[in-house]
Amino acid sequence: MPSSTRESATNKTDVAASAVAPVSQARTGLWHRARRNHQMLIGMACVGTFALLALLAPVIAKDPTALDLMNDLLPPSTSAPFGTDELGRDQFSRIVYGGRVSLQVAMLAVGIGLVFGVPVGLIAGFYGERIDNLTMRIMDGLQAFPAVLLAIVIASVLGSGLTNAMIAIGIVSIPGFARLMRGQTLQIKETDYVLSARAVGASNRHIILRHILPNGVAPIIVAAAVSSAGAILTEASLSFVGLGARPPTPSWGGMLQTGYPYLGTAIWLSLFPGLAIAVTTLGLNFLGDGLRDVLDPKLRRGYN
Amino acid sequence: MSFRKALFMTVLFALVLSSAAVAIAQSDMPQRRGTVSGVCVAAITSLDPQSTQLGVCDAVVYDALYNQLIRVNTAGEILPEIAESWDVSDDGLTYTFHLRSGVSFHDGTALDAEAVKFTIDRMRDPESESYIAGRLTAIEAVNVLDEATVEVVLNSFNAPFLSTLAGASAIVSPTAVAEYGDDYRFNAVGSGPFKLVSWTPGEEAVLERNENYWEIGADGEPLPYLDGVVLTGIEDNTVRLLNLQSGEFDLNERILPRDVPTIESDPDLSVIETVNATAYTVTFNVSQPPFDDVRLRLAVQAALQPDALIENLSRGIGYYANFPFPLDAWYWVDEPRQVYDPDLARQLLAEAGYPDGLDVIYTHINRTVDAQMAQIVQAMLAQVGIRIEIQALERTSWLDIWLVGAGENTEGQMAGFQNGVSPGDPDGKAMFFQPGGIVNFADYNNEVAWGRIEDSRTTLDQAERAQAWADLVAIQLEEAPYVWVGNIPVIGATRTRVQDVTLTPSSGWLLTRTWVNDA
Repeated sequence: MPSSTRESATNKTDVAASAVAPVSQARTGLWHRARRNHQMLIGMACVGTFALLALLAPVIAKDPTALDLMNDLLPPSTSAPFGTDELGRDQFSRIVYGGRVSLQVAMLAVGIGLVFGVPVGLIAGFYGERIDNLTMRIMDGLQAFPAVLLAIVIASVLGSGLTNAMIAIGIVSIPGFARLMRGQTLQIKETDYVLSARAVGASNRHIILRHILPNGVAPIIVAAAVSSAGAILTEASLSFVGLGARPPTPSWGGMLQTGYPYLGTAIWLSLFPGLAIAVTTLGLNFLGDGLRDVLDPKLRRGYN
Repeated sequence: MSFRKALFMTVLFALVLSSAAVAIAQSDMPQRRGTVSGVCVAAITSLDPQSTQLGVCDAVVYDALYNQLIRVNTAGEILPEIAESWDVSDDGLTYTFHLRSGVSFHDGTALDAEAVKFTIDRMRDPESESYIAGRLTAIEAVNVLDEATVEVVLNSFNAPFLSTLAGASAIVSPTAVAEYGDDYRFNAVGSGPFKLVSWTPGEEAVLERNENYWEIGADGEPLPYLDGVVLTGIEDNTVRLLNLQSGEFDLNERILPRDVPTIESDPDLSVIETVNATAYTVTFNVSQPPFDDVRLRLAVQAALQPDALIENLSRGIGYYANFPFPLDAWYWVDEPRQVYDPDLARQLLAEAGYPDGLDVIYTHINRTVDAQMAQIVQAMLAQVGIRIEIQALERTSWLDIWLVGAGENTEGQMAGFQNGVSPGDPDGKAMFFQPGGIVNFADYNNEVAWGRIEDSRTTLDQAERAQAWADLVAIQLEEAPYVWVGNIPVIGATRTRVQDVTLTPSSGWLLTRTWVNDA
């Protein structure tokens, strides 16, 4: 980028504007490309549907905790479109409210992962050497355990409950983000625009926040979408073993857990929460893949 | 017309005869081969019959490995086993047991009067782990009169004595106990139809036939018919059911009421109806706030609707019970019953200083039915402003909190649990009220209540005994250390190829005469 080098040599404030140029370029026609990416559209539709249902839950659903012991295990019908569970609760309402739990978990857990993982990766990648070694060995340590197992350990130390489950899943997702951000940082800090920013005396802070972070964020967004799917699955697993949302709070994993003994007699108890988990995680994965294609300038030509 | 009738009768007669002949051909002599595997709800905890006996599998293993002095059947009758007969003195204080001769333990030593005395002394030793010691305090001394005669002297008249003994008198080899010491629970040596091959805690127990067993089978040879038995415990109802269907297990201690149609529709499986039932119970830590206040316990009791709860849990086969007694027992107490009264519950809460409601922790063992009950209790109590936070725990964690009472453990406020009803004799439920007793989960110490239990032990008059227990039931409905929700009959299942399983009162199996029909 010879032009940016020349400009930044004359005016320091212009450095930032020109250095973020790759980002704004990459975003040109973003929506145009997204519209032509079918995978992403399907993903958005799946996730959007559940997000909308979760938002509108108080309007479209009944009380998900109201027992009706005389009407238990009813098959799907017009009054209860997804049937009723072993305590006579409306399964549809529980799926809708369970969606709130799942999306909440996805957001909070991925939020924790981002808030801690991204700075760790930036610092480790940028400063390198001992800081890098130390933080990345800690991340390796965290990653050495299977994610679900680690989440179970953390959740059982913290005690069962939704908040603790979210924290546990968040902690588990930190290393992934940290590694990814570190990789991005290592790559970007050797680019011309960073070197030139450094040459004109930009501070480390300025370089990290204005150059490396904005340019490295695309894969992080993709990873966040995919991690959300993972978080929903992990929450379902935790609820399945009794460490997630406490009854009577509906959660998809918890519903699967109470439903699976009825597989032979009342399959709708496990079918619908199972489908909800499958569709949402599939949607998030599609969304993630689609975002990668859309955000990655190297792949742009394939879609134009 | 009459000709037709005669023809019809002749044909019918011929049919009956031929089917009878087929039946005789089928009920062949038992075959001497095969292994039977059984699965219970709870894992085996010990092979030492004088230690804990919390699960049915424990009892099944004891019945396979050991002989009892006397035994009680599902009808509540006391049967001879090692004791061929017994005499009771006129004052009811001296029991003389005449023992079967020629019985030896798996280690070759003789099962004689000394071994019986050793076992009874071990059972009643208050310093030991024996879960039954508290119910045998009436024994003053055990005397060996000769090699085949043992005399038990009581310090006071004890009506349930024989039935208590019959429930738990598996005779251990004194030599083996001395040899293994604390490890005896892994190295059981009895005189039963099967002997131990291996057992690892948490895994299955493998037993093989005792070639020198004393009982004789229908073919004139010593029992048992089976080559071996494998027993294991799995808490998950679905896993047990699936493994029964796949043929992994032949006997399943317990199926849930909702699975009965599944079993009945499978020609390889049969449903076993037992005399046992499971009682579902809510309890409190009465030694600590908040539930040291009787008004709060009564508020919970008044807020529950046991009929609806038990109907949902049992799919209609259960019934409300004010106490864990079997419905048709002579000691069943019909009145008083719990009364659903949400206004009273709110009023009691307000009086106790919680007009805005009460928050408590409710713990249960993480099992399907317990979890279901917890949520129903939660919803019912929420109606009157008692908000419970449910904690589903592993069995051992739950027992850690509640055995011998929860004390100051902050998680031990309120709990739900299952327990067997008491077939045979009401005294089986005394342990819930025994001061300092291991399963006095509520830590409930009421001298009057305990006094009535002791009264019931010191009279032989059945009506008086029943009255004593009825008084206890009334006291505890007024004080609610336990809120008994109801009983659900225990239903087991078996593969049809397994023949002649004798059920025990605890819904376990006696496998001495069991055989496998693979024809």
